[in-house]
Amino acid sequence: MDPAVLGALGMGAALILIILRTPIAFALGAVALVSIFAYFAFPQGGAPALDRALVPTLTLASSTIFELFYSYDLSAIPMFVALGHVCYRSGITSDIYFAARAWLTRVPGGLAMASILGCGGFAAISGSSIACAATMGRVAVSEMNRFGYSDRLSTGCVAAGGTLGALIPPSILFILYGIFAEQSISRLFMAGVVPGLLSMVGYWVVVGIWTTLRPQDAPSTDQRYSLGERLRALIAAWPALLIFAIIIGGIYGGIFTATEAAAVSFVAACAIAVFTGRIKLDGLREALKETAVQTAAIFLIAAAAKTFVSFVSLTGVANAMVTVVQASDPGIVLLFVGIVAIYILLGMFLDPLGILLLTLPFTLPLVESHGMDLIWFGVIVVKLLEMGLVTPPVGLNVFVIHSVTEPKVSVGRIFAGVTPFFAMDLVVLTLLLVFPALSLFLAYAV
Amino acid sequence: MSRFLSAVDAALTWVERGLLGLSMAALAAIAALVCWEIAARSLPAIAVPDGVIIVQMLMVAAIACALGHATATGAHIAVDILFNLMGPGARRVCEVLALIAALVFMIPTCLWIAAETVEHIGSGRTLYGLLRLPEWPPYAALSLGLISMTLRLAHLLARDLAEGAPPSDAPHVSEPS
Repeated sequence: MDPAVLGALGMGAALILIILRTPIAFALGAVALVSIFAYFAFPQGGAPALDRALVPTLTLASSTIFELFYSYDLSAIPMFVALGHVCYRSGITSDIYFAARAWLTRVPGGLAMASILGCGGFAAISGSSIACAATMGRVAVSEMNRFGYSDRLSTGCVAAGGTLGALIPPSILFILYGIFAEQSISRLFMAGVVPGLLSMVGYWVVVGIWTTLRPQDAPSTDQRYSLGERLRALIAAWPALLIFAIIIGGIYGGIFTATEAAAVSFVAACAIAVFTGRIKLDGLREALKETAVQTAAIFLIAAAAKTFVSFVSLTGVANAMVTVVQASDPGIVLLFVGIVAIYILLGMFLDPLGILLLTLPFTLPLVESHGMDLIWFGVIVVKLLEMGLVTPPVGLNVFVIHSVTEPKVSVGRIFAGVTPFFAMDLVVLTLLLVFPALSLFLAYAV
Repeated sequence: MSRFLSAVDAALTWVERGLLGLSMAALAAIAALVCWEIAARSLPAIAVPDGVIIVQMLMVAAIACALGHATATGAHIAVDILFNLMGPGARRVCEVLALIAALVFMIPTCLWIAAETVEHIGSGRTLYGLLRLPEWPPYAALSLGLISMTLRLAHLLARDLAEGAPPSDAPHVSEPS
């Protein structure tokens, strides 16, 4: 069989299975296994060789799974996931929001700004946009609604704020990108800091413009905090600040690698949570349990995607597509317009992890062939993936907020609320594309 | 049939809980070992030989041993977009299709890795390093995890086919980033 046809069929089959709700790992794994077997069993121009196809197929699949699981560098993923669960269960992450609220409450739209800051801090430590949306959706949205904020503004800013987690380190998407693109994870982490902060400032600007144009959407509150109360709120957030300092300071200071930073910050979070009485042994056990399950799901997808990528490489479809694109010589601007459009389109239907692993075999060679920096491209890809969390029809953050807010806010209103923030995302994305130094100056200072 | 499936379910749940405990212990051990290794840079006397290899082995255990429980609790990431628009019959077909796809991937892979594990145990080969640790433990952990997951998938398929399990309405999409 023509390998290119097999490759195209395989990709189509995987996509159909995913759309029909087959878990991504199983869809990619099953299609990859069957297709690799077909590739070896029906060689182009040769006689069928079913008996000789089994060994290379299963050797490829099993070695891919084993090598991915048997990884020291990837131990950062379960450690950061565990860190997030411990911080979430101990309330460490919510303290950032309460501190931000105390300081920003008098600013017009201050509660929305505090929510964005809280989301950024929460998602940065927990590494999970969904967990952030679920928690802040309960805490911050109800708080804003209590003070008469428009439900579009309150839900929109929290849904958008949750997306900050993937850019501000630690970020599981950066770790996986680093492994697949063979780039330094520490550098990727550092590269994400400025774009993450820039996105956050961009969201604040949106709130500022919104409340200027429609002051009725964010009435000023009577709530006042004295300087002492504000300082106390800030001090109460010390565990989150310390953990963030350990991660960034440790990596930036060259004290430890990203992998080691994950374990150290997890142990530090456990110690802080236990010694300050924020978490009991049962809570730690639950955090470890959730970590184990989530890690298993992430690694199974990654293993299946790696097997699928091997299949795509075997068939030469990726190279063929890259050659076609290069032959048409679209130019840098058109190339990136295409890449951005594809990621935004896929982000409307698929989850970030699946998109990342499915697209990298095609986009990396293209970007590399134009001599572009892969650390910078990693930042662009992760920003695009996070934007997918708030785009209809499958904006996961939007659906999570819809499910946790009381009284219910319609999905349509939440999407409407997110739209200005999405527009700002496009502005920030353009800045990141035009000025790669925004991502790279910190990355290469490590 | 349903009594048999219930008994299988109970047995699998018991195994999955045990493996999940192993997975959690492995996670805690990874954290402790990595921190210990960092401390050992200043105090070389306390360094654990082959620390990196041990972490790699623990990683396999941490991930693989939780696979069965993850499957039983529906933790695998899937996309609901079209599924939510379907009727109950079409949903059931999709769920069965998903389980068949999962088994197509898992059964051959699982059998192959189990065979490799037996081969590693029989060979008595060891890894490079000071401790000369045996090669087979991570393979055994991977085999156990994959077997428990495959059995759970088979059980779910049998249950769906035999009893027509109602399709879940709960959102099945999770996100790890």
